[in-house]
Amino acid sequence: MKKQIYLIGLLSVCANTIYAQTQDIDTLSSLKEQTLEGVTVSARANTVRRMGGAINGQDILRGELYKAACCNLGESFVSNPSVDVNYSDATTGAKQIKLLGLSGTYVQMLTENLPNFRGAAMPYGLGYVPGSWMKSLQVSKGNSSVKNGYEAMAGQINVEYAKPEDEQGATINLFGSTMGKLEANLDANYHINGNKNLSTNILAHFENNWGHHDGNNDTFQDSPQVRQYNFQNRWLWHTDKYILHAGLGLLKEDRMSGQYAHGKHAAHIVNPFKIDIATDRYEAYMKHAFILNPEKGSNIALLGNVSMHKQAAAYGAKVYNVNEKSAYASLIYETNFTQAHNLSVGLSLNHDYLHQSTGLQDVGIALPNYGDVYGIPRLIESETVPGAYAQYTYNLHNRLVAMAGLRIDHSNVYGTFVTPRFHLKWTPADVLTIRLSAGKGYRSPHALAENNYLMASGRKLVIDNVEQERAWNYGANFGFLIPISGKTLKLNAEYYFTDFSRQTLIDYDINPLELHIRGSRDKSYSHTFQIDATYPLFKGMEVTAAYRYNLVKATYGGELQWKPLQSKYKGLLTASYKTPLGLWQFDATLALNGGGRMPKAYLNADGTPSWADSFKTYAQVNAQVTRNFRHFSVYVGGENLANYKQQHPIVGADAVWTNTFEPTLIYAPVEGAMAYVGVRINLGNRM
Amino acid sequence: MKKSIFTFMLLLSALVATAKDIKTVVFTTTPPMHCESCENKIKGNLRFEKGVKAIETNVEEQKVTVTFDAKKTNAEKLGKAFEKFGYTAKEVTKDEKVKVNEGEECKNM
Repeated sequence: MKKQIYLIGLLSVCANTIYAQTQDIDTLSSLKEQTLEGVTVSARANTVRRMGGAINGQDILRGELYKAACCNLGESFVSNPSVDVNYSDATTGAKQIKLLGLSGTYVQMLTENLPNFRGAAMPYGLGYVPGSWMKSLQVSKGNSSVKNGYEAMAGQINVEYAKPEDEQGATINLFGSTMGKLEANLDANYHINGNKNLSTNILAHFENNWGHHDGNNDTFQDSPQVRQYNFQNRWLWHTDKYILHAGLGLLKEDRMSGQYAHGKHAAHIVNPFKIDIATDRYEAYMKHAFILNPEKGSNIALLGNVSMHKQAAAYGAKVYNVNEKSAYASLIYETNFTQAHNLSVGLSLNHDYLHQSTGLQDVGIALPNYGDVYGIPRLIESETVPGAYAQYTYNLHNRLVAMAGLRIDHSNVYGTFVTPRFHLKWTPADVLTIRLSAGKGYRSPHALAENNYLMASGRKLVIDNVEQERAWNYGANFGFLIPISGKTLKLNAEYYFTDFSRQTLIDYDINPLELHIRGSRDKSYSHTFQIDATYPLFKGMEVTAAYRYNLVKATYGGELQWKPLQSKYKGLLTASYKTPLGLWQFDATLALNGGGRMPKAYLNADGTPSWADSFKTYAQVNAQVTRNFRHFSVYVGGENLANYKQQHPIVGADAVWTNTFEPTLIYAPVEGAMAYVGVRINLGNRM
Repeated sequence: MKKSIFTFMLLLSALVATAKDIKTVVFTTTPPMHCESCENKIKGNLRFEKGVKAIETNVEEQKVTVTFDAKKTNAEKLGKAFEKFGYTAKEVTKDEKVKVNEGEECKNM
C-alpha cells in the first residue's frame, strides 16, 4: 500500500514537469531584471519600493495594501516591520502609529504632501483615511526634508489618494467582518471630454460597526460602535506650463462605546459609563505649480490647505469640545542649475486655532477628583508660524546624493527657532547603499486636543509646563542587494537615535491615581535597531523577515526608565504567494511583539498590585486569500488568528466612577480572532 | 509485485487520458505594445480567458506568446479575446520579424 502511495506521488511530480515549457524572454519581467556582475536577478512586481534620493523611505503601493484588506490607514501597517499600530485605549478605539518606538505625534502626517490631521484630529485621524482610497503610502524614517516643515521628529507618512487622472471608471468595494463591521467604498473618476488633463474624481466611504461584543465579560464593549460618512472630491487641471490640484473633503463620524447595559451582566448597572464622540471635519486644499523652465525643472508652486475639525466628546462624566481651525500655505521655488545641483527655497505660513471647552456632566453619582482641567469654559490655543527655508541638493550620477536644508520659523507663542537637516545617500558599489541623516525637529503640542482619549481614564488629570518639543534625530541605514542562487536578497540594517531636549510626556508613573501630561526637559531618548530581509524563494513567492529592537527610555515618575506599554522588540515574518497568472494570491503575516514595562500600579484593598509590572511577549497572525476575476476580485481573511487578547484591558471595571478606573493601559489586541470577506468591483476602463 | 505494476500502468494511462494538451501560439497586436503599461494591460486582461496557462510579452519583438490548454480553447478564440479590451491580434510564427512603427504615442501611459 505504501509503495503505491509513493508511486502516485512520484507520478504527480512527473506530471507537473511535463507542463514545464521553455520560456521565451518575457520583456515584462526582464525590465525588473538587473544584471549584477553576470548574475541575472528577477522578481515579481514590487509592491514596496525604496524611495529614491537621500531620505530613508519606503513607497508602499496598492498591491501591498491589498495583501491585508486594511480598512483604513490605521490598518495598513500589518506587514510593515517599521511601523506599529496600537489601540490607544480599550474604550474609544483611538489608534496610534508608533515609529522608532515613539508615539505617532512625532510622525508628521501628510496627505498629498500637505500637512494634515493635526491637533484634535490626531487620536482618531488614522481612521479618516479608508484603505481603498489610497493609491500609495510613503513612510520615511528620521527627519524629512525641511520643505514640509519643522515637525517630523521620528518620521513622516504621506498618503497619496487615488488620482483623477488614473484610468477612468469606478471601483466599488464592500467589506464585512465577524466583529459586526460593514464598509462600503467608492472611487470614481471622469476625464472631461476624454482629456485626462482636466479630470475629477470622487471618493466616498461609509462604515458602520454595530457590534456590542464583550468577549471578556467586563461589561464594557470590546470595540466602539463607529458610523462614519466620508467624502472627497478632487480635481486636476494640467496644461503645458501650469498644473492645478484642488479638492475638498467632508467627514462625519459618530463613535460610541462604554458599558453595554443590555447584556446579562449589565442588568445591575445603574449608572453605566458611556463614551460618545461626534466629529465633523471639513477640509480643502489646492496646489498650483507654474513650470518656468522644463529643461532645468524650474518651477514655482503655491500650496495651501484649510481644515475645520469640530469634535464633541463625552468620556463618562467628562465633556470635551473642540473646534479647531487650521490653515497652511507655502510658496516654493525649485530649480536644477545643472544635473548635479538643485536648489529649493520657500516661504510658509501655518496657523492653528483651537477653541476648547471642558466640563463635568451629572451622571447621577458622586464623582472623584478628576483634576483642575475640567470646568473650563474657554481654552484657546492659537499659534501662527511664518517661516522660510533653503535646501541644496548635490547629486553625483545618483551614486552620491547630499541634501542640506535649513529652516527658520517664528512662532508667536514659542519664539524664533532654526531647523537644520542633513541627508546623505552613497552607493559605493551596486550591492551597497548607505543612507545617513541628522537633524532637528520641533513640535507645538496641544496637550488636551492630541490626547483627549486619555480622558477616558479615571485618574486625576494634571497638565503642566507644556512647551514646544525639541529633538535631534540621527540615523544610519545600510541597504544591501545580495545575489543568491540567481535572485536578489534585499537586506536592510539600520540604527536611529532620537534625543529629546524638550518633550511633552504622558507620565503614568508619578502617581498610579494620577495622569500627568507634563513638559519635561529631563533625559528622554530612543535607540532603534532594525534588520530586515526580503527574498523571492521561488517563482511567485516572496518572503520577508524582520527584527527590530526598541530601547526607549524617558524620565517617568522621577527616574529614567523604559517607556511603558512599548514592546522591547518586534519580530516579523511575512509570506506572499501569487500564482503564475496572478489569479490567486495568498498572504500571511506572523508578528512577535516582545514584552515591556507596565506603569506603576496602585495597590488593591487586599494589598496586591492592580496589574503586573510587565507584560509578556505575544504573537499575532494574519492571513488572506484573494481571487482575481476579470472585473472584480474577492478576498477572505482573518486577523489575530492566534486569538491573543489582552487580559483585563479595563482595570477597575467594577468601580468606574473612581480614580482607579483605568482603560488606557493597552499593549495588545483587545478583541480576539476576526474573519472578514470583501469584494472589489471595477467598472469602466479599469482592469 | 505484479499487482503493483498493473495498478501503476492503470494510473499512468488514466493520467495520460486526462492530461492537458498544451500548445503555444504567438500573436502580434494592433495597437502595438510600447511600454510596461501596455504589457500589463494585455497580460492583465488575457489571463482570464479559459484555458490560458501562461502569457509572455516582448516589446522589442512585438510578440505575445500564449501557452494554453488545447482542450479548453484554441488559437482563434484567443485571438478574438484581444478585442474584448481594445486590441486586435494577428497570429505570427515564433521567428517572424514584426515591423515596428516608430513615433507612436502610448495611450496607456
